[in-house]
Amino acid sequence: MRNIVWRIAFLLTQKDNSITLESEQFSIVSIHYNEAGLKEHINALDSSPMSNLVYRYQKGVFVMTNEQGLRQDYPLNLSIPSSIMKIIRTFPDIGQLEFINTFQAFVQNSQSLETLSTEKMRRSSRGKTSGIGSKGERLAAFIKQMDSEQKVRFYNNLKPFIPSLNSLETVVKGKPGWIELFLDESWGDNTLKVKSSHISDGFLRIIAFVSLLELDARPGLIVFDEVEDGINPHIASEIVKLLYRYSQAHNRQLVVTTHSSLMLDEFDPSNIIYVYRQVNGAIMAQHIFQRQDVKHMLEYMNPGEIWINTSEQELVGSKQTRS
Amino acid sequence: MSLISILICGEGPTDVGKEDFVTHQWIEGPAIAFVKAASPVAISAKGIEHRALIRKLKLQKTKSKGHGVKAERLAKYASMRGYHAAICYIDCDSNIDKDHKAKISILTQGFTNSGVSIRCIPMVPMAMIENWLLADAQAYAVVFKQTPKSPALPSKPETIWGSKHDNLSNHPKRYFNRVIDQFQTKPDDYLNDLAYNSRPTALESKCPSSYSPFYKDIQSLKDI
Repeated sequence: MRNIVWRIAFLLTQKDNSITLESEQFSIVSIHYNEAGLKEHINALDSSPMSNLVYRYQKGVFVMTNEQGLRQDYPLNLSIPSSIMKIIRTFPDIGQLEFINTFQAFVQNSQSLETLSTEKMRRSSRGKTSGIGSKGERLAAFIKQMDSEQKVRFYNNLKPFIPSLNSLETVVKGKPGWIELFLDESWGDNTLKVKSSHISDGFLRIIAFVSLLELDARPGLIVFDEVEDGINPHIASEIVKLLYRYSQAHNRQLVVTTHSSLMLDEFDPSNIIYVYRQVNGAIMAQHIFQRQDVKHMLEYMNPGEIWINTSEQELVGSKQTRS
Repeated sequence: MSLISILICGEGPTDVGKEDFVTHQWIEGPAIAFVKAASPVAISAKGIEHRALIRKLKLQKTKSKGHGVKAERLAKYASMRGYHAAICYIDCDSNIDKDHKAKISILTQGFTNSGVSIRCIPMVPMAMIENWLLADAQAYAVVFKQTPKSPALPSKPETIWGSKHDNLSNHPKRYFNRVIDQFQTKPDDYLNDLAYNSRPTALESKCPSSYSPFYKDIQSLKDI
């Protein structure tokens, strides 16, 4: 059993008068456990059974160091020119650097849902799928292929967000094999069958969020952009709870972006990373609520309130910001 | 007229009280007992925990700072929920008059920033609730059937101060503990009993800097 904690440092570079965001550097802390759940070393370089190894990749060289400062370099071309989310090369016979393949699996299990599009979600889809697709374009097919137990669970998880919901149906319509989504709702004595093209943006996004709970539980990363889009403020809290639940149950890390102070209020302050730009254009990221001068404000305010009521300079503790 | 309803927010369970985990009923602390004892009219007082208040009412832009944010939030929430008045309790955490005035000012500014029309009252003992509990020997005679002798109550409770970590110091909590420890038997709810039985006249006389302005503010409840 192993647990990999990884960090990526994005670099802002300027070439030919254009600015590029690159992920040239990342580091991995590889912690190995025995069957009893105790940490043990399996790497020849690591002489201490309780110590962690740190692997750092930078410009074609893997640098491996342990807590005693021992270092070994491995020249390797990992080929991650633009985005860590892109598939990295496979190393078939990699010996003690086998963890790279584990890391690769982690990346492959990861999904970027930052382009979740309600327009795509409304469309019919077909075939077998392991997820809802990066834009949500396979939502209908993903729901269709759930087994009966999953469907009951899915409905029960969805119902609190859509109280009028009777059922969510996936119907083969039009071309053979193409599946369309229908929402069956009750309003008083009336029942309505709403086809996907008429389902609201917010409902579709909620359906997509809840469907995540039915994904395979494999380590990986999920990226959401603008999680608040189409979400009513009074259910913001429940949506964030759902995301935390999903993350814990599926052993997946979620990276969520938001511009909503209301949504921000619902996250654990220690999880919040504020991303901003310096006057020279560099993109910076900071755990602002771990800084003592900002943290003390949590005594009186929610994170989002602090965000609203504080200048960016105060938030990041620097004058090196645009504002 | 029906009871004047008041929402009170404090710093923790030892001042305003806490919500019962099972019944969700508010278990009153000594600060509420002081309010009831000082009030010129019958009141129904309910406490709210600060964290709960932060969850229940979200502020947008505010000019309030520090405890003033709490006061503004409390005033808005109490007004929204139909309370007649709001009381914001904080410890002064100092025996210096200037610090007390600054705390009152910051709460008052928060109330003003809330823009609500209900009665809003700051409650800031100098230095903390224990100082007020050390004011009236007669309250001890009622609750413990005898007055404190060793140590006796301080002549000017608002002025005592010392190290919080030294059991023998004059820090209000340490001094109060020594006063209480001299009694063999203690009623379960002696904190509330002491607060409720402390006479406003004695409090005004012994704690003129922090109790008197509070008492004066509380009297305005009869105008609601």
